[in-house]
Amino acid sequence: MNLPWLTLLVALPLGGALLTLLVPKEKESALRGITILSTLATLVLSVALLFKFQPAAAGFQFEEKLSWIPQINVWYHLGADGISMPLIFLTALLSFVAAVASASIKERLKEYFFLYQLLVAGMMGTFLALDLFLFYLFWELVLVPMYFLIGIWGGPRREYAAIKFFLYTLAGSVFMLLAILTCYFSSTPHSFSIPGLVQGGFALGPAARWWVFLGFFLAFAIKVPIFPFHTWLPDAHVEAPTPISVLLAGVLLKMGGYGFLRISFPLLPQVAVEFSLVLAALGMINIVYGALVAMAQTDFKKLVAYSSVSHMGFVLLGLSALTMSGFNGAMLEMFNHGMITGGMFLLVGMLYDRAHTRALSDFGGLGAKIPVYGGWLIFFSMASLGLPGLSGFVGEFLSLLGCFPTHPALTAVSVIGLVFGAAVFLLMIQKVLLGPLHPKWAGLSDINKREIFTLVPLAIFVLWVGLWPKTVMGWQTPALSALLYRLGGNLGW
Amino acid sequence: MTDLSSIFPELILAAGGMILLILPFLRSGRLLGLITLALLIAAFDAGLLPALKTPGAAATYSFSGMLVQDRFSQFFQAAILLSSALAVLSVMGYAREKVRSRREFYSLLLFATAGLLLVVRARHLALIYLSIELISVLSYLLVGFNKRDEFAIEGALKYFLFGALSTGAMLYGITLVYGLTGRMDLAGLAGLAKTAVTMPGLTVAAVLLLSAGLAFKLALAPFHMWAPDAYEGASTPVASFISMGPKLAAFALLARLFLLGIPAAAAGWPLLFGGLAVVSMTIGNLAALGQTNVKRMLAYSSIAHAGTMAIGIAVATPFGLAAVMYYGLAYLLMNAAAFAGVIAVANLSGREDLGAFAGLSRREPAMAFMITIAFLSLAGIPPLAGFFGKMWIFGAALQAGAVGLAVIGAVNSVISLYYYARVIKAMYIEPAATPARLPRSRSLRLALALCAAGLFLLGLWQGPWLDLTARSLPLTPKAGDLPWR
Repeated sequence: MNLPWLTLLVALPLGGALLTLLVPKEKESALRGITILSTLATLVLSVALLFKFQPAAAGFQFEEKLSWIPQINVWYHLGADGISMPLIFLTALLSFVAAVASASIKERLKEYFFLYQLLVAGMMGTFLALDLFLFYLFWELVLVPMYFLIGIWGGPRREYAAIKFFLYTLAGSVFMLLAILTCYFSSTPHSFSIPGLVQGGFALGPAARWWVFLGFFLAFAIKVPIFPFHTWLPDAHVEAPTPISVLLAGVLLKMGGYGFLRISFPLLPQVAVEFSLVLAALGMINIVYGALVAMAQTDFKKLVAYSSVSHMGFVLLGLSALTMSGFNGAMLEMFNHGMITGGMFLLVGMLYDRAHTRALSDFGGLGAKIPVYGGWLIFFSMASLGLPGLSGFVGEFLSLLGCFPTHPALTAVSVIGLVFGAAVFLLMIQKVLLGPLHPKWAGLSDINKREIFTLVPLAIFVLWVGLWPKTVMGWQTPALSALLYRLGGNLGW
Repeated sequence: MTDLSSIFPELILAAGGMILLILPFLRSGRLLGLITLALLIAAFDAGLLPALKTPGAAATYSFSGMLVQDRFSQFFQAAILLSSALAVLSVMGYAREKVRSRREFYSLLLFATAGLLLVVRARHLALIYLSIELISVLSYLLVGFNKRDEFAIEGALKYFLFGALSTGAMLYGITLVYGLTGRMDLAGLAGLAKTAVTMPGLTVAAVLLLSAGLAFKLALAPFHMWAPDAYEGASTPVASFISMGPKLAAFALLARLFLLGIPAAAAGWPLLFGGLAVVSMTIGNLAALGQTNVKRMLAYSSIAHAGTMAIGIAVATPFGLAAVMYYGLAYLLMNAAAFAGVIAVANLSGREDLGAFAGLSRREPAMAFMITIAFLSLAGIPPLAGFFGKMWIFGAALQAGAVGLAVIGAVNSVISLYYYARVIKAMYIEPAATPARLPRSRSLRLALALCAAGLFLLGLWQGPWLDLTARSLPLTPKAGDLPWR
């Protein structure tokens, strides 16, 4: 069948959002049902596409190209390749999981689920768009619902966190807009098409290319986030409600890394190579600084948020490597981080729902009281600190391995970050699960089936990728090697 | 006779205004509003519809070349009529007893609209001056319409004093132009290229005085001081009106006088407008950050928007002007919607500060949604028209190599998000101040819905609008001037 598959990936959540508007706000189960069904349908479709997807084929697959605004050569152009496929699947899976986990949301459900599905559509579109104009629209479409989702359903400091997130990301995107417009006006004929610009190129001097690269870099750096643009992240992650934290950490951060691979690197290969050292240094800072700051946190959720900063450092390190292992590691780290940190945020949320506190010093000895929870927490913590056999290890190892020949000294320092990272999670486990049980937690109940149901799919992929990373690497390697070839990187390593 | 028929729309409006004044038996404010709307539509039908039906029609001149009717003026006339119609809808929804004598109010609005229609097609400096005076005097009256309101009187007085100064400056500029070139028609402005060499001081003085006069009308910083007080003092529909029609007309005039008239090389006015744009955007946005009165905030926001649009004039390219025209349409819709929102909230609470918006989303979800659309568009969030207006302005700046202007504009649009988001935050995040429902006003809802739909339409279905601006350009663009065909 030749249906517009990729459009459906966006249209399903978008249609769900519109349908939500028609449901009276008192019908809470219908509202929940629509969202769970629309995200489940998206997930099923994305899995089906993964089976249809042919990694070895060159170029984009399932392409859809329609003229949208012919006057300015804007196309509705969607397509998927090995770089976007894993992220599309990740988005679909986390959207479904977080929709199920949205059971913890109790008020203003109609608005919540409308915005939630709008957010999912925006994220999907960002990974699918092959026209810079369309890409920018989807990129910004993510911002607005996220602002409301944090601002309305967030924690005590939600207003501050929401506007900070909004302003930071918008500041990045306006510079991306200027970069996009510069590309557009310097290409003949004027074009927004990403593959078109990659092939056709554009008439810009070396200095102007640097500025364009920096424009894109700023937008992506804020999204990743790269030190020193990370300060919105702890606020937004901590204040957001649990399902939204999952999507923020699991998907939104990947939009930055994806941007590098889809736009910055292929469009401006020369600058990307020259920029590699800066990127590696920033990656190293992210890894070490993120881990150290995470270690100092007293708030459970903030600890996980800062550990994300550390993990995204590995993505940057892998990208800066310009080697096959490095690129593979960066992509894998994005995929794995989504699964692992998604799980971590779910676990933090489950504990908070019961204890109504996230202060690490309040806990202790919970391992004996709620053993099932303890088991899951240990599993995801081990994955997060990079235990071999679980997925976190593979991505980090490949990133470090790939980056070593390119930037040996920076890689060496980054390895130390791994130790700090391990310390973060081991100390956390000690504070939460071990030690004497505080009497006020005597009535704490263990996690229920629905909560386990949200964790199982993530755990499956944590194990699967940890033991057999070839599955995901098989999807992404051909596309990454094509990109690396264009960059003139080390294909053999 | 052909001369008279060429100003048929203006005549309809002026005559309609007179009739509204002298007909004593019309007491229903609603009926008066509908008649005013009908007159505006009639003016559109009579003046613009025939012209729109004949594409590619050449410009026609009347009154010995003092008036021109070309696609450029038709574009602005249509926009001005639309803005007046939206203002009328706002007045109809303005439930407070503040507007006592609606009859006079509507007739003033009609006269002012006639003046606006005239000014965008004037080709003679004296006529331009006269129409500007007509609009200005009527605007002072409208602002100070509530003679028992101290704020209204203060605002009107400030507006009048600054306005008198600015039209005085403009008149002085006109006399200098006449003295230098010996001509008062716009074609004669080209002569300034010669005098710029022979008498540079006087030429620069003439250009500065002319632009100062127009900058006052546009409320470009540093000539903006009257705007916040006038907006705050005026009744909200009036604030809405003076923020739209006169501004669009002033931009049309700016294009005719500077882009098409005075040679750029002669007096360096692109640099001047670049400076005005930067100062206006920055001052407007920074001052808006601290405002708690939404009307006052919108006054500063319109200063910032005028600054952004001035970039399109400053780059002095056909693309820049096309971007200004697109932006003008978007600005009209989003500003009208924002002011309609202020009216709707004020009808309930009698207040116009941020606190009055608190919890609106739970009382009136549909209305809060439409107001949110307007404010997001003002902040430049895609896919709304306000975003694309900014995008084309920045694009024009980049195309002309004015990267600095584009970057400053982009940074400013981020700053502006902060205060626009405060209104949205109040509506959605803060708890409701008063649990009562808003009294429903159909005309306000209509205005809001039209604007919100228009913002999406202009944004997502851009092709026709881009074509329209390209067709309406007063100068024929060369291949490659415009990114669109």
